[in-house]
Amino acid sequence: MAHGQLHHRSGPAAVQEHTFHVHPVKMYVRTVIGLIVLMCATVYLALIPFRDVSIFGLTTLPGTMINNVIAMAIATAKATLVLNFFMGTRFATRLTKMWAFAGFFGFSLMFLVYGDYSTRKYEPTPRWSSDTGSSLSRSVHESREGRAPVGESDMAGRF
Amino acid sequence: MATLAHDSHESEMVVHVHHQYENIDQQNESYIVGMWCFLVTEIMFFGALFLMYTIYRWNYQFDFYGAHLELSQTPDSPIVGPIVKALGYQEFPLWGALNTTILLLSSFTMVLAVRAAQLRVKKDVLKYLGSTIVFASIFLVIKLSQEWPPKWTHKLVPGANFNPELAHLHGANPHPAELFYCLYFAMTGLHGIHVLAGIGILTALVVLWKKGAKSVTEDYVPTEMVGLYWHFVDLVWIFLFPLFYLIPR
Repeated sequence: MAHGQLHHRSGPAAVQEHTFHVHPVKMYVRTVIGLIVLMCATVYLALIPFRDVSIFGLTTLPGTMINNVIAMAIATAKATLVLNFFMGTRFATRLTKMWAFAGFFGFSLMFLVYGDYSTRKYEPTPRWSSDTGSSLSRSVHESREGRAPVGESDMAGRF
Repeated sequence: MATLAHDSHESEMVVHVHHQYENIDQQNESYIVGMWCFLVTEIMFFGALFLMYTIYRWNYQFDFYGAHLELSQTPDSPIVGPIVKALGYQEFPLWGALNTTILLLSSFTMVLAVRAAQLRVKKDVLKYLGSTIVFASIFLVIKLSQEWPPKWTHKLVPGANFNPELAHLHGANPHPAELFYCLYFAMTGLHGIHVLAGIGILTALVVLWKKGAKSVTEDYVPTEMVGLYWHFVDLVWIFLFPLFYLIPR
Protein backbone atom coordinates (compact mmCIF):
# COMPACT_ATOMS: atom_id res chain seq x y z
CA MET A 1 0.00 0.00 0.00
CA ALA A 2 1.50 3.26 -1.11
CA HIS A 3 1.45 6.32 1.12
CA GLY A 4 1.10 9.89 0.06
CA GLN A 5 2.77 12.50 2.19
CA LEU A 6 0.94 15.75 2.60
CA HIS A 7 2.36 18.85 4.20
CA HIS A 8 0.74 22.18 4.61
CA ARG A 9 1.84 25.78 4.68
CA SER A 10 -0.23 27.51 7.33
CA GLY A 11 -1.56 26.31 10.68
CA PRO A 12 0.21 25.85 13.99
CA ALA A 13 3.97 26.11 13.98
CA ALA A 14 4.54 22.47 14.85
CA VAL A 15 5.33 20.30 11.88
CA GLN A 16 2.20 18.52 10.86
CA GLU A 17 2.21 15.71 8.45
CA HIS A 18 -0.63 13.71 7.25
CA THR A 19 -0.54 10.34 5.61
CA PHE A 20 -3.44 9.14 3.55
CA HIS A 21 -3.71 5.72 2.05
CA VAL A 22 -3.62 5.14 -1.65
CA HIS A 23 -5.40 1.85 -2.05
CA PRO A 24 -4.07 -0.78 -4.44
CA VAL A 25 -5.66 -1.00 -7.88
CA LYS A 26 -6.34 -4.67 -7.12
CA MET A 27 -8.98 -3.69 -4.58
CA TYR A 28 -10.85 -1.61 -7.16
CA VAL A 29 -10.53 -4.33 -9.80
CA ARG A 30 -12.02 -6.89 -7.40
CA THR A 31 -14.87 -4.52 -6.59
CA VAL A 32 -15.79 -3.91 -10.22
CA ILE A 33 -15.59 -7.64 -11.03
CA GLY A 34 -17.88 -8.33 -8.06
CA LEU A 35 -20.31 -5.67 -9.29
CA ILE A 36 -20.47 -7.08 -12.82
CA VAL A 37 -20.91 -10.65 -11.56
CA LEU A 38 -23.78 -9.44 -9.36
CA MET A 39 -25.28 -7.59 -12.33
CA CYS A 40 -25.32 -10.81 -14.39
CA ALA A 41 -26.73 -12.75 -11.43
CA THR A 42 -29.59 -10.31 -10.90
CA VAL A 43 -30.66 -10.46 -14.56
CA TYR A 44 -30.40 -14.26 -14.64
CA LEU A 45 -32.34 -14.77 -11.40
CA ALA A 46 -35.01 -12.19 -12.28
CA LEU A 47 -35.95 -14.16 -15.39
CA ILE A 48 -36.54 -17.39 -13.47
CA PRO A 49 -40.22 -17.72 -12.52
CA PHE A 50 -39.96 -19.08 -8.98
CA ARG A 51 -42.83 -21.23 -7.74
CA ASP A 52 -44.89 -20.26 -4.74
CA VAL A 53 -43.40 -21.81 -1.62
CA SER A 54 -45.53 -23.09 1.23
CA ILE A 55 -44.05 -22.31 4.64
CA PHE A 56 -44.96 -25.26 6.89
CA GLY A 57 -48.45 -25.21 5.42
CA LEU A 58 -49.12 -22.04 7.41
CA THR A 59 -48.70 -19.45 4.73
CA THR A 60 -47.60 -19.25 1.13
CA LEU A 61 -44.62 -17.22 0.02
CA PRO A 62 -45.45 -16.08 -3.52
CA GLY A 63 -42.80 -16.74 -6.15
CA THR A 64 -43.02 -13.08 -7.18
CA MET A 65 -41.89 -12.13 -3.71
CA ILE A 66 -38.86 -14.45 -3.96
CA ASN A 67 -37.86 -12.69 -7.20
CA ASN A 68 -38.29 -9.31 -5.54
CA VAL A 69 -36.31 -10.22 -2.45
CA ILE A 70 -33.44 -11.57 -4.58
CA ALA A 71 -33.43 -8.50 -6.86
CA MET A 72 -33.39 -6.04 -3.96
CA ALA A 73 -30.85 -8.06 -1.97
CA ILE A 74 -28.47 -8.04 -4.95
CA ALA A 75 -29.06 -4.30 -5.51
CA THR A 76 -28.25 -3.69 -1.84
CA ALA A 77 -25.11 -5.81 -2.09
CA LYS A 78 -23.99 -3.82 -5.15
CA ALA A 79 -24.74 -0.54 -3.38
CA THR A 80 -22.71 -1.70 -0.37
CA LEU A 81 -19.72 -2.46 -2.60
CA VAL A 82 -19.93 0.96 -4.28
CA LEU A 83 -20.36 2.76 -0.94
CA ASN A 84 -17.56 0.93 0.85
CA PHE A 85 -14.87 0.74 -1.80
CA PHE A 86 -15.61 3.26 -4.56
CA MET A 87 -16.95 6.01 -2.31
CA GLY A 88 -14.43 4.96 0.34
CA THR A 89 -16.91 5.14 3.21
CA ARG A 90 -15.23 2.10 4.75
CA PHE A 91 -11.99 4.07 5.18
CA ALA A 92 -13.63 7.43 5.92
CA THR A 93 -13.69 9.32 9.22
CA ARG A 94 -16.47 8.63 11.70
CA LEU A 95 -18.14 11.96 10.95
CA THR A 96 -18.33 11.11 7.24
CA LYS A 97 -19.71 7.66 8.07
CA MET A 98 -22.35 9.28 10.24
CA TRP A 99 -23.47 11.50 7.34
CA ALA A 100 -23.60 8.59 4.94
CA PHE A 101 -25.64 6.62 7.46
CA ALA A 102 -27.94 9.60 8.07
CA GLY A 103 -28.83 9.74 4.38
CA PHE A 104 -29.94 6.15 4.15
CA PHE A 105 -31.55 6.16 7.57
CA GLY A 106 -33.60 9.23 6.58
CA PHE A 107 -34.58 7.43 3.37
CA SER A 108 -35.86 4.43 5.33
CA LEU A 109 -37.94 6.75 7.55
CA MET A 110 -39.85 7.86 4.44
CA PHE A 111 -41.39 4.43 4.31
CA LEU A 112 -43.32 5.16 7.51
CA VAL A 113 -45.79 6.69 5.05
CA TYR A 114 -46.91 3.10 4.46
CA GLY A 115 -48.50 3.21 7.92
CA ASP A 116 -50.80 5.88 6.62
CA TYR A 117 -51.59 4.20 3.32
CA SER A 118 -52.28 0.80 4.81
CA THR A 119 -54.79 2.08 7.35
CA ARG A 120 -56.70 4.30 4.96
CA LYS A 121 -59.81 3.35 3.08
CA TYR A 122 -59.04 2.64 -0.55
CA GLU A 123 -60.69 4.96 -2.97
CA PRO A 124 -60.97 3.04 -6.21
CA THR A 125 -60.36 5.06 -9.33
CA PRO A 126 -63.21 4.42 -11.76
CA ARG A 127 -62.24 1.81 -14.36
CA TRP A 128 -58.77 1.31 -12.87
CA SER A 129 -59.40 -1.33 -10.28
CA SER A 130 -62.06 -2.69 -8.00
CA ASP A 131 -62.38 -1.74 -4.32
CA THR A 132 -59.68 -3.66 -2.52
CA GLY A 133 -60.46 -2.36 0.95
CA SER A 134 -57.19 -0.73 1.94
CA SER A 135 -54.97 1.65 0.03
CA LEU A 136 -52.11 -0.82 0.22
CA SER A 137 -53.48 -4.16 -0.74
CA ARG A 138 -53.19 -6.41 -3.66
CA SER A 139 -53.70 -10.01 -4.38
CA VAL A 140 -50.44 -11.45 -5.57
CA HIS A 141 -52.24 -14.65 -6.44
CA GLU A 142 -54.57 -12.88 -8.74
CA SER A 143 -51.57 -11.65 -10.69
CA ARG A 144 -49.52 -14.81 -10.57
CA GLU A 145 -52.20 -17.29 -11.50
CA GLY A 146 -53.25 -15.71 -14.66
CA ARG A 147 -55.39 -12.74 -15.15
CA ALA A 148 -55.84 -13.45 -18.80
CA PRO A 149 -54.30 -10.87 -21.10
CA VAL A 150 -56.64 -8.00 -21.77
CA GLY A 151 -58.56 -8.43 -24.98
CA GLU A 152 -60.30 -5.81 -27.06
CA SER A 153 -63.69 -6.61 -25.46
CA ASP A 154 -62.30 -6.34 -21.91
CA MET A 155 -60.77 -3.03 -22.77
CA ALA A 156 -64.15 -1.53 -23.59
CA GLY A 157 -65.26 -2.20 -20.06
CA ARG A 158 -62.08 -0.92 -18.53
CA PHE A 159 -62.04 2.52 -20.08
CA MET B 1 12.07 26.81 13.36
CA ALA B 2 9.82 23.92 12.70
CA THR B 3 7.98 25.81 10.02
CA LEU B 4 11.23 26.71 8.32
CA ALA B 5 12.39 23.12 8.37
CA HIS B 6 9.07 22.20 6.96
CA ASP B 7 9.38 24.71 4.15
CA SER B 8 12.75 23.36 3.18
CA HIS B 9 11.30 20.12 1.94
CA GLU B 10 8.23 21.75 0.59
CA SER B 11 8.20 19.96 -2.72
CA GLU B 12 5.31 19.47 -5.09
CA MET B 13 3.38 17.66 -2.33
CA VAL B 14 2.24 20.86 -0.62
CA VAL B 15 -1.44 21.35 0.06
CA HIS B 16 -2.70 24.76 1.02
CA VAL B 17 -4.70 24.73 4.23
CA HIS B 18 -7.20 27.56 4.39
CA HIS B 19 -7.04 29.78 7.46
CA GLN B 20 -10.27 28.54 9.02
CA TYR B 21 -8.96 24.98 9.36
CA GLU B 22 -6.69 23.60 12.06
CA ASN B 23 -4.94 21.23 9.71
CA ILE B 24 -5.22 19.32 6.47
CA ASP B 25 -7.23 16.49 8.08
CA GLN B 26 -9.91 18.88 9.23
CA GLN B 27 -9.99 20.59 5.86
CA ASN B 28 -10.35 17.32 3.96
CA GLU B 29 -13.03 16.05 6.32
CA SER B 30 -14.99 19.28 5.92
CA TYR B 31 -14.92 18.98 2.13
CA ILE B 32 -16.05 15.37 2.19
CA VAL B 33 -18.75 15.93 4.81
CA GLY B 34 -20.00 18.91 2.80
CA MET B 35 -20.30 16.69 -0.25
CA TRP B 36 -22.14 14.02 1.75
CA CYS B 37 -24.45 16.71 3.05
CA PHE B 38 -25.40 17.42 -0.55
CA LEU B 39 -25.73 13.71 -1.32
CA VAL B 40 -28.16 13.33 1.61
CA THR B 41 -30.43 15.93 -0.01
CA GLU B 42 -30.13 13.96 -3.25
CA ILE B 43 -31.16 10.77 -1.45
CA MET B 44 -34.26 12.61 -0.20
CA PHE B 45 -34.92 13.93 -3.71
CA PHE B 46 -34.82 10.49 -5.33
CA GLY B 47 -36.25 8.89 -2.18
CA ALA B 48 -39.67 10.49 -2.64
CA LEU B 49 -39.84 9.06 -6.16
CA PHE B 50 -38.77 5.61 -4.95
CA LEU B 51 -41.47 5.77 -2.28
CA MET B 52 -44.12 6.69 -4.86
CA TYR B 53 -42.90 3.88 -7.08
CA THR B 54 -43.21 1.24 -4.35
CA ILE B 55 -46.76 2.29 -3.47
CA TYR B 56 -48.02 2.06 -7.05
CA ARG B 57 -46.03 -1.06 -7.79
CA TRP B 58 -47.65 -2.68 -4.76
CA ASN B 59 -51.14 -1.77 -5.94
CA TYR B 60 -50.63 -2.54 -9.63
CA GLN B 61 -48.05 -5.33 -9.66
CA PHE B 62 -49.53 -7.18 -12.61
CA ASP B 63 -49.95 -4.04 -14.73
CA PHE B 64 -46.40 -2.94 -13.93
CA TYR B 65 -45.20 -6.39 -14.96
CA GLY B 66 -46.95 -6.08 -18.31
CA ALA B 67 -45.78 -2.53 -18.96
CA HIS B 68 -42.17 -3.33 -18.03
CA LEU B 69 -41.97 -6.05 -20.73
CA GLU B 70 -41.88 -3.22 -23.27
CA LEU B 71 -38.46 -2.19 -21.85
CA SER B 72 -37.04 -5.60 -22.78
CA GLN B 73 -35.74 -6.61 -26.17
CA THR B 74 -36.98 -9.55 -28.23
CA PRO B 75 -35.21 -11.67 -30.86
CA ASP B 76 -36.75 -9.31 -33.46
CA SER B 77 -35.41 -6.12 -31.91
CA PRO B 78 -33.14 -3.93 -34.01
CA ILE B 79 -29.36 -4.18 -33.45
CA VAL B 80 -29.42 -6.50 -30.41
CA GLY B 81 -32.11 -8.97 -31.58
CA PRO B 82 -29.56 -11.69 -32.55
CA ILE B 83 -27.92 -11.44 -29.10
CA VAL B 84 -31.27 -11.94 -27.36
CA LYS B 85 -31.89 -14.91 -29.64
CA ALA B 86 -28.47 -16.36 -28.86
CA LEU B 87 -29.14 -16.01 -25.14
CA GLY B 88 -32.32 -18.01 -25.65
CA TYR B 89 -34.81 -15.54 -24.19
CA GLN B 90 -38.07 -14.23 -25.59
CA GLU B 91 -37.74 -11.01 -23.61
CA PHE B 92 -34.43 -9.80 -22.27
CA PRO B 93 -33.58 -6.34 -20.84
CA LEU B 94 -30.40 -6.12 -22.90
CA TRP B 95 -30.10 -2.33 -23.20
CA GLY B 96 -30.81 -1.97 -19.49
CA ALA B 97 -28.22 -4.57 -18.54
CA LEU B 98 -25.68 -3.05 -20.91
CA ASN B 99 -26.25 0.42 -19.50
CA THR B 100 -25.87 -0.91 -15.96
CA THR B 101 -22.53 -2.47 -16.89
CA ILE B 102 -21.41 0.76 -18.55
CA LEU B 103 -22.21 2.80 -15.44
CA LEU B 104 -20.43 0.31 -13.19
CA LEU B 105 -17.37 0.54 -15.43
CA SER B 106 -17.55 4.34 -15.36
CA SER B 107 -17.50 4.22 -11.56
CA PHE B 108 -14.42 2.02 -11.79
CA THR B 109 -12.57 4.47 -14.07
CA MET B 110 -13.68 7.34 -11.79
CA VAL B 111 -12.17 5.70 -8.73
CA LEU B 112 -8.94 5.13 -10.67
CA ALA B 113 -8.92 8.84 -11.58
CA VAL B 114 -9.19 9.72 -7.87
CA ARG B 115 -6.33 7.32 -7.13
CA ALA B 116 -4.21 8.91 -9.83
CA ALA B 117 -5.06 12.35 -8.36
CA GLN B 118 -3.80 11.14 -4.97
CA LEU B 119 -0.56 10.08 -6.61
CA ARG B 120 -0.56 13.25 -8.73
CA VAL B 121 -0.04 11.46 -12.01
CA LYS B 122 -1.65 13.98 -14.33
CA LYS B 123 -1.52 11.75 -17.40
CA ASP B 124 -3.47 8.99 -15.64
CA VAL B 125 -6.00 11.40 -14.15
CA LEU B 126 -6.80 12.73 -17.62
CA LYS B 127 -6.94 9.22 -19.09
CA TYR B 128 -9.37 7.91 -16.46
CA LEU B 129 -11.54 11.04 -16.31
CA GLY B 130 -11.74 10.88 -20.11
CA SER B 131 -12.83 7.21 -19.97
CA THR B 132 -15.49 8.11 -17.40
CA ILE B 133 -16.87 10.80 -19.71
CA VAL B 134 -16.87 8.34 -22.62
CA PHE B 135 -18.79 5.70 -20.61
CA ALA B 136 -21.27 8.33 -19.39
CA SER B 137 -21.83 9.50 -22.96
CA ILE B 138 -22.40 5.93 -24.21
CA PHE B 139 -24.98 5.51 -21.44
CA LEU B 140 -26.86 8.62 -22.58
CA VAL B 141 -26.58 7.74 -26.27
CA ILE B 142 -28.16 4.32 -25.62
CA LYS B 143 -30.94 5.97 -23.59
CA LEU B 144 -31.66 8.64 -26.17
CA SER B 145 -31.33 6.50 -29.28
CA GLN B 146 -32.45 2.99 -28.29
CA GLU B 147 -34.59 3.29 -25.20
CA TRP B 148 -36.71 6.44 -25.27
CA PRO B 149 -37.56 6.97 -28.99
CA PRO B 150 -39.50 3.67 -29.36
CA LYS B 151 -41.71 4.73 -26.42
CA TRP B 152 -42.48 7.88 -28.35
CA THR B 153 -43.35 6.12 -31.62
CA HIS B 154 -45.48 3.53 -29.77
CA LYS B 155 -47.39 6.36 -28.04
CA LEU B 156 -46.26 5.20 -24.60
CA VAL B 157 -45.28 8.67 -23.38
CA PRO B 158 -47.74 9.66 -20.65
CA GLY B 159 -49.99 12.59 -21.33
CA ALA B 160 -52.46 13.56 -24.04
CA ASN B 161 -50.73 11.35 -26.62
CA PHE B 162 -50.74 8.21 -24.50
CA ASN B 163 -52.57 5.78 -26.75
CA PRO B 164 -50.59 2.57 -27.20
CA GLU B 165 -51.69 -0.46 -29.12
CA LEU B 166 -52.60 -3.49 -26.99
CA ALA B 167 -49.48 -5.34 -28.12
CA HIS B 168 -47.28 -2.78 -26.38
CA LEU B 169 -49.17 -3.09 -23.09
CA HIS B 170 -48.57 -6.84 -22.73
CA GLY B 171 -51.85 -7.36 -20.89
CA ALA B 172 -51.59 -4.36 -18.59
CA ASN B 173 -54.50 -2.06 -17.91
CA PRO B 174 -53.64 1.14 -19.82
CA HIS B 175 -54.24 3.41 -16.81
CA PRO B 176 -51.70 1.84 -14.43
CA ALA B 177 -49.45 1.32 -17.47
CA GLU B 178 -49.50 5.10 -18.02
CA LEU B 179 -48.62 5.50 -14.35
CA PHE B 180 -45.70 3.11 -14.89
CA TYR B 181 -44.42 5.25 -17.75
CA CYS B 182 -44.87 8.43 -15.68
CA LEU B 183 -42.58 6.92 -13.05
CA TYR B 184 -40.24 5.48 -15.69
CA PHE B 185 -39.70 8.81 -17.42
CA ALA B 186 -39.58 10.83 -14.19
CA MET B 187 -37.05 8.56 -12.48
CA THR B 188 -34.81 7.55 -15.38
CA GLY B 189 -35.16 11.10 -16.73
CA LEU B 190 -34.05 12.66 -13.47
CA HIS B 191 -31.20 10.16 -13.36
CA GLY B 192 -30.34 11.05 -16.98
CA ILE B 193 -30.17 14.74 -16.03
CA HIS B 194 -27.75 13.77 -13.26
CA VAL B 195 -25.60 11.87 -15.75
CA LEU B 196 -25.62 14.91 -18.05
CA ALA B 197 -24.66 17.19 -15.15
CA GLY B 198 -21.94 14.67 -14.26
CA ILE B 199 -20.50 14.88 -17.78
CA GLY B 200 -20.42 18.68 -17.40
CA ILE B 201 -18.67 18.55 -14.02
CA LEU B 202 -16.20 15.91 -15.25
CA THR B 203 -15.41 18.01 -18.31
CA ALA B 204 -14.77 21.06 -16.10
CA LEU B 205 -12.47 18.92 -13.96
CA VAL B 206 -10.58 17.71 -17.03
CA VAL B 207 -10.11 21.32 -18.16
CA LEU B 208 -8.75 22.30 -14.72
CA TRP B 209 -6.36 19.34 -14.72
CA LYS B 210 -5.23 20.12 -18.25
CA LYS B 211 -4.53 23.72 -17.29
CA GLY B 212 -2.70 22.46 -14.25
CA ALA B 213 -4.86 24.55 -11.92
CA LYS B 214 -3.44 24.28 -8.41
CA SER B 215 -6.91 23.92 -6.88
CA VAL B 216 -7.15 20.41 -8.31
CA THR B 217 -3.57 19.33 -8.94
CA GLU B 218 -2.12 20.01 -5.49
CA ASP B 219 -5.08 18.59 -3.59
CA TYR B 220 -6.83 15.36 -4.58
CA VAL B 221 -10.03 16.17 -2.66
CA PRO B 222 -11.84 18.13 -5.43
CA THR B 223 -11.42 15.11 -7.73
CA GLU B 224 -12.61 12.88 -4.88
CA MET B 225 -15.73 15.03 -4.44
CA VAL B 226 -16.64 14.73 -8.12
CA GLY B 227 -16.05 10.99 -7.66
CA LEU B 228 -18.52 10.88 -4.77
CA TYR B 229 -21.16 12.54 -6.93
CA TRP B 230 -20.49 10.15 -9.80
CA HIS B 231 -20.69 7.05 -7.58
CA PHE B 232 -23.96 8.36 -6.18
CA VAL B 233 -25.39 8.56 -9.72
CA ASP B 234 -24.26 4.95 -10.18
CA LEU B 235 -25.87 4.02 -6.86
CA VAL B 236 -29.25 5.38 -7.98
CA TRP B 237 -29.08 3.40 -11.21
CA ILE B 238 -28.21 0.20 -9.28
CA PHE B 239 -31.71 0.45 -7.76
CA LEU B 240 -33.51 1.81 -10.83
CA PHE B 241 -32.37 -1.13 -12.93
CA PRO B 242 -34.12 -3.97 -11.04
CA LEU B 243 -37.14 -1.76 -10.25
CA PHE B 244 -37.91 -0.95 -13.87
CA TYR B 245 -36.30 -3.67 -15.97
CA LEU B 246 -36.60 -6.76 -13.78
CA ILE B 247 -40.18 -6.81 -12.50
CA PRO B 248 -41.26 -10.41 -11.88
CA ARG B 249 -44.61 -11.65 -13.00
